[in-house]
Amino acid sequence: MYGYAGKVLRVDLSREQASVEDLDAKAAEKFLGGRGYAAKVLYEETSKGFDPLGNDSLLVFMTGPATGTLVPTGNRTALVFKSPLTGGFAHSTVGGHFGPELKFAGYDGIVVRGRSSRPVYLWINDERAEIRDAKDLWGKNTFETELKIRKESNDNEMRVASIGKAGESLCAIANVTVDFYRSFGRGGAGAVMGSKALKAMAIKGARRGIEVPDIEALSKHVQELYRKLQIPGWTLPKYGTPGMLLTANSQKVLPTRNFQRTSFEEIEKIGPEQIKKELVKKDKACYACPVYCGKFSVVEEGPYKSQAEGPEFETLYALGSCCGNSNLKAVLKANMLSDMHGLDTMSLGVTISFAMECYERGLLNQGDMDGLDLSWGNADAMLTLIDRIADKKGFGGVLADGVRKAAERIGKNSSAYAMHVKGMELPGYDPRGLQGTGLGYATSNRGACHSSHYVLTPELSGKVNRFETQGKGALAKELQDLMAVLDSLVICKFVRYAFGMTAEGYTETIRLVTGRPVDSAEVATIGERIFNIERMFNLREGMGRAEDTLPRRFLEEPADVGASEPQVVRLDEMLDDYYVNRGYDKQGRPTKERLKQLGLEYAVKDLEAG
Amino acid sequence: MATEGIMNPTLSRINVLAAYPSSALDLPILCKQCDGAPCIATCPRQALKRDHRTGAVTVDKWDCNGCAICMSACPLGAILIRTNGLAAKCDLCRGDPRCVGFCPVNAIAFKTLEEVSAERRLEAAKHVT
Repeated sequence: MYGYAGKVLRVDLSREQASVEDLDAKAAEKFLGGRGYAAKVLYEETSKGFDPLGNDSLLVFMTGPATGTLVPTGNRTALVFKSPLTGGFAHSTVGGHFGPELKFAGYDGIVVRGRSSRPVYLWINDERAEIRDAKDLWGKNTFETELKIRKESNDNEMRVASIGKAGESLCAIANVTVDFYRSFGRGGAGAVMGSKALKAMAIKGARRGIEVPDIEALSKHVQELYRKLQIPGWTLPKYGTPGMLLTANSQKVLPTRNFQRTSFEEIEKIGPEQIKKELVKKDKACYACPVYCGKFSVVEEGPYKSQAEGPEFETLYALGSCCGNSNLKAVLKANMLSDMHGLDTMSLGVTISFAMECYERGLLNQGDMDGLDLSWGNADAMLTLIDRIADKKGFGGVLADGVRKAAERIGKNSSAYAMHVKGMELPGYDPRGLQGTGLGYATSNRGACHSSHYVLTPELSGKVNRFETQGKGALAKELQDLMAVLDSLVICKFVRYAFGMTAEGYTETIRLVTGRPVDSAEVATIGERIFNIERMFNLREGMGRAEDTLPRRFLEEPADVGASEPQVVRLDEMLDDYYVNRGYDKQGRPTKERLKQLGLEYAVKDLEAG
Repeated sequence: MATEGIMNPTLSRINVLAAYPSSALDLPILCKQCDGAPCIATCPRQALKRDHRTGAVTVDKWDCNGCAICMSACPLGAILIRTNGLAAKCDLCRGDPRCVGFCPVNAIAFKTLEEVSAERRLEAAKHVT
C-alpha cells in the first residue's frame, strides 16, 4: 500500500501481549489515517460510558500516509482516546520524529488496550515489539526516562514518548512528552497512559522505508510546496509561534488575567523580540519541515535556569498574560517543568489563572492554597504550584484535574471564572473579538480548541469580518472538516498556507503519496466523515447541544475587543446556522440520512442515545 | 531517498545526530570523500574507487561482496551496509547531490573549486582599501 506501512501493532497490557495485524485498507481509504482512522477504531471498539482511566479504555496512536515522507511536515502522529478531562472524544497530535520512526519500524499505528498490573514500557525495534519492565523508570521525569531508555538500549537515536509524574498521578491535564520538548498536549492522554501503568514507548525503525508510486513526481511536488512556503515577512520561521502575540494583543484578543482583559500591558516583556534577544539559541525543525518554527531557548543560570523548545504562543499566553505574568525567564522554567512532569501548559496556565482570580475575588485565601500567594504575576508561586499539581499534593490536587473539576471542588460559584468548553481549557484568543472562532470553540469535538478549525486565521487577517456572525456557521464547518484532513494525513497546520485553505489543495498530495486519485469533493467528505464519527462518539456519551456552549463570561460580560463597542459572543445566532450547515437537527444530532451518505451506517444505532 | 527509491532517513547517506537535551546542536555526519581514503585502501576487492570527475569515492556494486571492512575502516561511520548486503555511501549523487536542493536553510552547498575561489576573491576585494 503506497504511503502506508500496512501494519498496525496491537498491545494488550492486561495480558502483556503484542500482536501485529494488517491495516484496514478500506478504513484507510475512508478516513485516510491519523486522527480519522484512530477515531473509527475508538468508536467501534468501545461502548458508551466506559471509564477513560479504566480497563476498557483505548489509546490509539496513528500516523497517516504523509507521515515519514518528504511532504513538508510529514512528521506528525495523532493520539486518539476518551478524555479524562472532557469525558468525550479527544485527539492530540505531536511533531518531532516519533511518527516517522514508527512507520520506519513498519507500523502505521499502535492500539493500546487494557491495564498492566506493574509499570511497563513498550520497546519497538523494527519487527521486535516487547513489553518491558519499567519499575526503575516509574517516578522519573520524562527527560530522565528518555535518556535512560536510550542508554539501556545503547541507541541514542531511539524516539521516546513518555509520561512524567503528572501522568503517573493521573492528573487530567497530564500529557505525553515526545523527543524531550514536544507533546501530545491536549486532553489528558498522560493520565490514560498512567492508568495503564504504561510509562513510555520507545521506537527504532531502521529497516523499512515508505514507498510511493513515483518518487520523482513526489519530489517535484515537494519542491513546489517548499517554494510556496517562502512567504516574505513570515514571522513563523523567524520568531516561531510567539510572532502571533503582538497581533493578538493589538487586535485586543489576547486573554489577560483569566480573560478579564483582552490585552496585556506588559506585552513587550514577553513579546517575540524580547524572546529572541533573551532566550533563543537556535532554530529547531521537526522531521521534513522547512518552516523550523521550534526555537530552542536557554536560561543559563539563576533561579530560572532552564531550557526548552519554546515557549510557544499558547504557553506565553497561558502561563504569561493569562496569569498576569511578565517574567519571561520564569515562563521558560514553567515550560520546562511542564515538559518534565508531562503537563499541558495551556490547561495548566488557565487553571492557575482561575485560582488567581478566585484569590483576587476572595473565594480562596492563602490558607486554602497551602500558604501560596497566588497574586497576579507571582511567578515564583506559580513554579512551586506546578510541582505540587504534578504530584497532586495539597492545593495542587485541587487544580490537577483541570479548571472544571477545580471549580467543582472549590464551589462558591467559582465556576463563573472557569474558562473551559466541555472541560477543556481555552486557547489564547478571546472569542468575543472573533465570533466564528467562538463558534469553533463551542462545537469542536475535543472542547475549546482553535486548531481544530483555525477560523481565527480568516478572522484575524480580515478576510472575513471578525465581529460578524453571519456566514460563520458554514465557515466553521468547512474548516473543521479540512483540519480533520490535515490531522489524518498527518501534517502540521502551519504549512496549510502552501496547500491552500480548501480541500482542492490536498488532492495532489494525497494522490502522490497513496497513488489513489481523489477529487476535492472526496477530500471534503473524508473530513466531514471524520468530524461526524467523533461527534457520534460524544453523542453516545450524552454530549449534545447543551455542551456546545461557551463560558458564561463570553456570553454575558461584554469586553473591549477592538470593535466600536464592547462585545459578547452571539453564540445562539451562529449555532442554529451551524447545525443547518452540518445537516443536524436542533439538538445537534446528525440525521440518519446524513450519516448514511457519509458511510457511517453503523453509527445510526447510537443516534437515539444523544 | 532518490538513490533508494523509498523514504527512510536511516538509509540516507547523511545522518543528522541531535545532542538533545544537553545542547541544541544538530550534527550532520556524512562522507568527507577523504584524501587517502581508508575505505579505498582497505577494500580487499578494490570495489571502492575514486570518481575523478566528481571527486567522490564510489562503491562498485559488482565488486562489493558486503564484507564490511570499509565500514570498520571509516573514521566517520559514514558507510552503511544495506539490506541487500552491499556497502553504500555518499557518491555525491554522481555529481548532482540531491540534498542541496532540499535544504530549506541553504546549509548545504555543492560547489566547484573555481566557484569557491571566485567567492573568496569577492570577499577579499571588500578588504582592499
